Order: sequence, then C-alpha cells, then structure tokens
Amino acid sequence: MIKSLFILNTGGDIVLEKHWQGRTGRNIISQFWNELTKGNRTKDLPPIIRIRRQTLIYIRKYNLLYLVVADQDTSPLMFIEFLNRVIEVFSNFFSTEPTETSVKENLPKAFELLGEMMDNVFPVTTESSMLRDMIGATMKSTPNTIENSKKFATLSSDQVGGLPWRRKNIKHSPNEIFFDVIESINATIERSGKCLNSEIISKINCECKLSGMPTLTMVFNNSSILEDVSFHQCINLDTWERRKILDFIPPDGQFELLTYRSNRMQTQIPLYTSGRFNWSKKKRRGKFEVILQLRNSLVKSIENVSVLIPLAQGCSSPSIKTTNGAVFFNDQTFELKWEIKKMPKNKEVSMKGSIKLPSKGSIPREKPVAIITFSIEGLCMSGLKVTNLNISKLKKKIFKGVKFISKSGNFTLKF
Amino acid sequence: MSSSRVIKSFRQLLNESKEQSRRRVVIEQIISAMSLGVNLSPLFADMVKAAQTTDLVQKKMIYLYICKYAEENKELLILSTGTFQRDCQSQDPLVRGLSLRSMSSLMNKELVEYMAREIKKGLMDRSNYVRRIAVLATVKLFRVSPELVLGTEIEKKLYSMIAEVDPYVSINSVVALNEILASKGGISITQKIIIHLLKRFHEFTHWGQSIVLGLVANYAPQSEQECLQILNLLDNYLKSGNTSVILAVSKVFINLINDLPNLRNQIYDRIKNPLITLVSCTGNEMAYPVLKHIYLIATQLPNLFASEASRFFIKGSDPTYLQEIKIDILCEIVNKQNFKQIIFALASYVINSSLNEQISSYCIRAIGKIASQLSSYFDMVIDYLMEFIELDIPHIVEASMIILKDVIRLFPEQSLEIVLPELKRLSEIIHTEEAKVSLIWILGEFGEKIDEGPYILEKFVETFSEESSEKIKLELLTSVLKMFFKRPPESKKMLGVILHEATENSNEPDVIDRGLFYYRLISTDINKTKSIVLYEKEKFTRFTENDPLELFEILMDEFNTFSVVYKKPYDQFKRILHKNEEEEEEEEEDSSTDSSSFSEEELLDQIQQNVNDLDINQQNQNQQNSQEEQEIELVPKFNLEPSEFQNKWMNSSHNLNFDFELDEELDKESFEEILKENNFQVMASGLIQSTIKIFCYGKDISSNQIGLFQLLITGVNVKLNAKGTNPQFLKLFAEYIATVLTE
Repeated sequence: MIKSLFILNTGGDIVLEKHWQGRTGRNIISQFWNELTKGNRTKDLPPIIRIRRQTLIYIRKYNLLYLVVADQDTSPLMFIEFLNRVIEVFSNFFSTEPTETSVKENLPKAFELLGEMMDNVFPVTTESSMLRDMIGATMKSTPNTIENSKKFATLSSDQVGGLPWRRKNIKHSPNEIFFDVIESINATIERSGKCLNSEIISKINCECKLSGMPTLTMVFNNSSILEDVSFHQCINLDTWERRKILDFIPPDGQFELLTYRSNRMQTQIPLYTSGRFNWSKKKRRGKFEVILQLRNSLVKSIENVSVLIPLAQGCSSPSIKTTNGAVFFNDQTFELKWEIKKMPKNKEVSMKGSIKLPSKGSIPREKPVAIITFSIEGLCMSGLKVTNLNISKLKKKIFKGVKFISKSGNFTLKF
Repeated sequence: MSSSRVIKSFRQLLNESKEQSRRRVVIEQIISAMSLGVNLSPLFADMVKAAQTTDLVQKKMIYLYICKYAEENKELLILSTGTFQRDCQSQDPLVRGLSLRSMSSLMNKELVEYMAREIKKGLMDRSNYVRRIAVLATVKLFRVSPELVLGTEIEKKLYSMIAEVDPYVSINSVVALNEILASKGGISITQKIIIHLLKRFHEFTHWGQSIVLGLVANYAPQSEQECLQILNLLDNYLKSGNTSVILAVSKVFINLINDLPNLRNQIYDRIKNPLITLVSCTGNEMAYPVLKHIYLIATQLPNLFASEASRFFIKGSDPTYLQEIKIDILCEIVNKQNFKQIIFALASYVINSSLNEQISSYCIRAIGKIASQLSSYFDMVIDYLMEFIELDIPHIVEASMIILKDVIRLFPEQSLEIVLPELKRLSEIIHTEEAKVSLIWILGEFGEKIDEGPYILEKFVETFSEESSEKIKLELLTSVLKMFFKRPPESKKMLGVILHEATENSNEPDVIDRGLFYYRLISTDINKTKSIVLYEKEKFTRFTENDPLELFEILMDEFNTFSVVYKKPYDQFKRILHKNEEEEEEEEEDSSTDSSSFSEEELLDQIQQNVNDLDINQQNQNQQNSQEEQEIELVPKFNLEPSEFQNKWMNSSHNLNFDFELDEELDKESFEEILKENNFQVMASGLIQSTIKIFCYGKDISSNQIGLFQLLITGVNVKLNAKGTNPQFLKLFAEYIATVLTE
C-alpha cells in the first residue's frame, strides 16, 4: 500500500523519510515540489496526483507536508486516513503539535512509531493507546533500569480479552473522563442580517483516564440530531441501532468519539450580524459598516469575536471608527481585521469606515465578504444534551464532565 | 564538516561511551544525521557491534540503521545475523518481534535461509505480537524467494491462522495471503472464510475492516438471503469513523445491487447521506476523493443527489481542485426542479472576481453542458451567455462565445431568435481570438438570415490584411464563401477581395493554401463547390467533451480505487505500474548515493545529477545524429508534371513548417541555381512585392520519398512549407534545404 513516507517543511526540504518497501529516490520529491509550487498556487494541487507514473498523496498540517508514495490500486481514502492518523499519533507522543522542530527533536521516537504503525506496507496498530504499549516501555525507562531489571513487560496484546483500541490493566488515579461537544456553525448571512443557509458540523472529543475495562453508556435528549453521524470504532453499533444510546468501552487518552452533521438549529444563531459595503466610483473608495449584537439570552459570554474582510489588491488608507474593539489593516494581504475581546450584553457594536482603492484600474464588480469568527462556551446550537452518562465496572470515585462549545465554522456575511 | 570527519567522530564517540545512557544519546545523534541525508554507511561494522546492547531503545535505532545501510554493506551483513538470531530467542516479545521484522526487511538473498527459519518459528511464537509480525514477514520472504512460500507449509499455515483468536494475526494472514497469491487473483474467497471474517468484523481495526470489505466486494453471495444478511450486517458501518471503511461498505453495497436489483434505490439511498456527511465533515484532502466518488454515482443516478445541490456549491475557501469537481457534480445532478438554482449559482461564480479565471471559464463550459441536456434549461442559459459577453472581460467573453456557438448548433431555432439581432453589436465588442472565430463561424452558418449579415462579415474582410491570427483568417475565408452561396449579390465583391488577399498578400501557408483551394474549386465547378461548402450537417446532439457512458460503467466496477479519482480505468495505468518497477530500480540505485540536505554532499549530488542529465542529453543528441546520418541525396533527374505536383501538394498527408535565416540576402535566380545544383526541381517561382516565392520538389535516392516545398523568402528570412507522406523525412528534407541554402 504505502511504500514510502516523506515529511517536508515549507521549503520543500525533507524532515523525515521512512521506507517500508524498497526505497523511493528523492528525485520524485523535487519533481513533486516543482508541481506544487508551479504558478504560485500551492494550495490548488490536488491531494492525489500522478508523477512519473507513480501515485502520490499528500496532506498538510502545522506547516508540514506529509507525502506518501503508493504502490497499489487500493482505496485512496485509506492513505489519507493513515496520514491523519500519523499526525494524531505524533501529537500524542510528542505532547505537542508535530512541527519541523518537534519532529526533528523526536526523530528516533517518530521512526519507532512509524515502524509499529505500518508493517510490510500495511497499516497495523494506529491507535495511540495501543502504541503506548509497544513504545511506552522504551519511552519512560532509562537504559540503566532496563539493564537491571530482567523482567520484561508483558504486552497486553498477548493477553486474552484486550480490544483493538484498548489494552488491559490500565491504571489511573484519579479516575476521570471529560467530553467536549464542539459544534461549528457554517452559515451565510445576508447584509440585512437574514440567514441564507446554515448547518452544524460537530464532534465530541473525549479525554479518558479510567482504570480497567469500563463500559460507558451515554444517553441523549434527542438522538435524531445524530442522524448523519460517524462513530469511533469503540461504539457498539447494534446498541445504537436498537436503543439509540451510546454504549462503549473507551480507548485510553484523547480520542474523537463521534462526528455529526445537522441542518436543524434549536436556537437562534447567538451573534446577530449585518452590514453593508459599497464601492464609490467617484471617490474611488469603499464605504462599509458592520454591526454585531449578542442576541441569545442563554449565552453568558461570547469570546474571541473577529471580523475579517479580504479587500481588493492595492487598497490602502483605511479610515475606521468602532464602538468596541480594535481594527488592524494588513497592507500586504489587504485584509482588514476587527477584533473584539469581549462582547457587551444588550448592546450593538459596530465598525464603520472607508478604504481607498488604488488610483488606477477598474472598480471591483464584486463586493467583498466578511468572515466572522467567534466561540461560545456552554451553548449547543443543535440542542443536543447528554441526559445520562453511566460508567459501569468501576467502583472507584470518578470525575466526569461534559462541556459544550459552539463556534464559527465557515461563517460569512455577504454585503 | 565533511562526512568522513563526521564518521570518525561518531566512531570515536561510540567507542568511548561505555555508559548506556550516553551511548543512547550518541546513537540518537547518528539516527538524526542519517535522516538528514548524511551517508553514514561506513559506520556499519561499529553499529552491528553496538547492536548487542540490552537497551531496547538503542536496539531499535541500531536496527533502523542496519536496515538502511544493509544494501551497501552486503559483505558485513553476515556479522549481524548472530545478533538477529540471538534476539529472536529473547525473553522479551518486543525484542523478538523487532528482530524478526528488521531481519525480514533486509531483503537479502544470502540471509534467506536464516530468515525462513526464524519466520517459521515466529509463526508458532507464543506471543500474539510476534506472530503478527511473523505473518507479515512471510510476504517479505516471498518477495525475495517466492519458492520458499508458495505452495509450502507456510502458505498452509497462513490459511489456518485466519482462524486465530487475535484479530491482528487473523487479518494479517488475510493480507499476507492476498499478496502472496496476487498473481493467482489473491486469496481464495470461500463462503467459510467470508462468514468467519464477517462474524468478527467488529474486532478488526479500520484497516482490517477495509481489507475484509475488499474481499466481500469480490465475493458472490450464494442466495438472496445471504445478500440481505451482508447488507444488514454492514449497514451500521456506514456510520464508521473511518472514511475508507464507509467507502468500502458503499462498494460492497453497490456490488450487491446486481443480485438485488429491486433494492437498487433503497441501497443508494442508504449510502447517500454518509457520503455527503463525509464531504462536509472532513478536510479538503478527504473531501476530494469522496467528491470524485459522488460524481461517479451521480453519472449513474443523477436524481439521487438532486435535492442536495446546495451541498456542492463552491466555497471561496475551496481549493481549485474541489471547485472543479463540485461544478462537475452540479452538471450531473441538474434536473427540472433544481436547474434554476444550479444555473444561478454557476453564473454567480463566473462573475465572482475572487475565484480565478480558470474556474470562471470552467463554469461557463458547465453552463453550456447543462443547456445541452434539456431544451427547457436553454432559455436561462442563453440569457446568461449574452450577459457574460457584454461584460467585456476577455476570458469570460472568450469562453462564452465558444459555448454560444455550441448552443446554437444544438438548438438553432430557439437560440438564433435571440442571438441574430445581437450579432452586429457583438461584432463590435468582441476582441479576443477564439471569440472572434466563433462569431465568424456563426455569421457564416446563419448570417444570411439577417439583413446586415454580409456587411458584418465585410467589416472583418476589410481588416483581413492587418489580421495577425491565422485561425481568424481561415474561419473568415470559409464563412465568406458560405455567405457567397447564400447571398451572392452582396457577397461577390467581398469574396473576390478575400481570395485575392489570401492568395497574394498572405504569409501564412495554410491561408494561402485554403485561398488557392477555394479559388480552384470555384473556377472548376461552381455548383459542386456549393454542395461541398453547404453540406447537410448531421444534427449535433452531444458535446464532444462529454465522457463516454461506458467509461463510467467501468469505473463503477472500480469503485473505491484510484481509477475513480483519475477518471481512468485501472487498465490504463496498470501496465504502467510494471514499467514503474524498472524505473524504481534505477531510482533506488541513484538514491544510494544519498543526497544530503546540507553541506558538500548535496552539492556533490547535484553535480552528479547534472552530469547524469548531461549524459542523457548527449545520448539524445547522438541518437539524433545517427538519424541524420541517413543523409538525403536527391535523384538527379526526377520530374513531376505540374498537375501531378498540384495533386500531391493538395493531398499530402503531412505538412511541416520550418523557418530559418540565411547568412546573406540572395536574389531569385541565385536561389533557383543553388536548388538546381542540389537536384531540387523548381516547379514555379515568382516575386510578390519583396517576397520571393518558389515551389520546388525532390526525391530521395535511398528511400524514394518525395518532398514538395514552398519557399517564401523575405530578405534573409525563409519560411519553408514542406509536404510529403512521411513526417520524419519531411524534417530531414527541411533541414537539408536549410543546409543547402545557408552554405
């Protein structure tokens, strides 16, 4: 399946290369890099391409580019899934985002992980918690203790009753499990403030530090919200089909329990947005106004609100007044950004102003859009609630919690 | 620091560091340097010695090193077998596994005996972990020595290991067998194996599940009941967290439709939502292949996704590759309910300046495709096309005119009503080449239907001599001739002008040719000419750029593979995969002179690379030279009748244009003399203003090939137009003439 993996930095230099079968020459990398940087449209090269009659698949994350060379005609998604898994595993084991620096610092560990994750071009163990079993021993121990103790750790995979995603004999103290329900709102808002279309893309992340083999059941107030859902492998699909409750033995550590998509919103979008934008031919200026208001009584606070307006090339000399927050104009990217640390309650905030067009050239036909970002804790747009979370087979005291976060996904205001 | 000094200092450090924790750091440094690209191969013996450590961390790193440099140190490799064998006996399953995995990765013929022995032992190991590794190691053994695996007890053992309790061992055995037996079509899929694997499906990792699903997709269930059982069992897995599992389940479902045709719609309905969710919930990289699959399904079942059109609308943040595939999907799912919404969306992308030009042209083509599907979409489309043309943005006008032309061919009656009254205005606002060509084509084809038709054409004819585009000139010639037969009184004069301009005052050989051709046609038989020019055209019903329907049927069979992404059947790149292997071997060799991403190493490699390139260039040149050695030598007294010449000139299958420069200016007579000296026969010559025009020909002695030439010489610039039956010889001929004339 995957013959070789290359990790490249933003300059196209190889940070790491791992070959599972044969060795792929570096020449193909320079050819790939030429393709990628051709015409300065680096983000437009499809993630699956053929170069020198070989199939290459790449993804990007944290300023690194992960590229694999494929050798067989198998499922294209398997490769991309595998790369995503590599990034996730690296994050877990490096305890930080895998950047050029952190990969280089953790090089031996990275090779160790890749060696276990794929063997003979087939992905084997890709769950962090299972990998910990194989890599864990070498991570903590100092060489001397290994030399002194003649006892070898028994692998949980050699014990009966383990699961593909959870090893046996896990011990934690204290025992705790936390869930984050993160809902991202994609919406397009008209200048009048009317919402043209919207959807919610959500996921439930979990951090699990529980001992033994606990079985969890999670019950929701309204399971029909989870119509378009994808589950982590640990979830018992039969129970879900029959009783619409989640029944699972969780992996150890951090993982994504499920993702779902929903078109229905139970509450109003908490941030009212409206605005206008006009290009004035005579003055060669763009005049605009953006108004925001908190409008959901359930919301206590809304944080990190920002409005980003990408303007036409060559725009300059902004003249802007705001009631709250600060405005920045980047004269390289021609982006205007308005940031509001804390939104006041029951009060409109606004930004009003104008921007100069370059003295030559045509007036843009199109109005720009405003991209709005925000995040709100304690609110769930889809109306999903966890009504019951039960943990069995564990006698000890357990700390558990569910946190809700709603945030902007692709949230744009059309002037 | 040069690499020899690096090696020296590493060697010293290894020898000096007695303390384990210090050694570990040294080895870590070696690994880091290795992956930077520094060639540390000379340290091999030292590292093999160091492998005897009991520290697993060091051992792992050292084995990594050994695997990397084994190829270059074949003779030293035998030293390491002792360590490998000892480690295969270790108490610690991690060490046994590591040793087995590393050893089998060496792919070394010499070690094959040891390898086979340890793998067989590994298959019986008490640890699941070691058995998992041993199973996959059999494939590596197979690659080096197939005879040690195929049809032996190892193969038998693998079949029995599918039944093992450990899900990894079980699935690895399936993977291994599938690969070992690839030439026989993979693992033999029996009902027993399928039932066994499906029963414990939930135990497998996503990767294992994908493999099993691949087998199930190729499995032919024996009864309808069995089909339904599989369907019900796998249905839940459309909710899997792993996209490749979802797609693999979809493939199984689609294959089952053949057995359950009456469930076709329900089955597609089941996979619809999971696929759409994948598009919105995953990153761009994942969305791309998923969208390609949705597109493929849409070609088979356009209505399935019709109500979900807005899911495929473009987002400004989408990279071009997503935008294109989304537009493709929109074209497929258009129907009577959603066409307004879709055409409106596409039109808004056309004029959206934040999207790039490529996409706006792509949208215009998409709009044209939609119009071609149903005449009821057509009104809306033509309004938009006319609007786009008014925008006066070059790339939009260009694409719109081309599509307008195609739309008129599809629906002449309806569209002409709208377009004809606008032709005059269009002729004034259109500036770009392709757009003009399309407009002139429309005028030639339908221009007679409006009063001012001939006069619009005439305007173009007036500027014919200043026109620099050959394409426009050619189209104009044809259109004027067509118009002449439809509206003779108004067009007679213009035809005369254009034929004169084309034959006498043009530099483009093709334009002259076509002018001469028309001229002769008309002077030979005017009625016949009419029937040739205004032939009855076949009704045009489908855009040629639309893909053949059979292609999609093949691709449905290859669902969930790269074929769908490339929109090419596997057959078209399967053979190429084989060729690849040869190429790879080359590559493997050149990568052994590992390039380093820093220092002189890189430079050296670069130089090496350049030298290689140089060799290739030289080789190419040599090849060319050897071709040129078949030198042209002309038959001294070869003669063609003028009519023969003309006949050959008009009917030659190949045409070559070749421009070159002379060292000095010559007059017409000197040219003819030089040509004659070299056995070229001059057919005709003349002087048009300051351009010398010569028609000549010649016949090569050895090959009997005849070449016909037209030379247009202005000062020192020579435009050569050569015609003949063999393109290679034409090139030789042309080069020969150039040499003759320049010497």
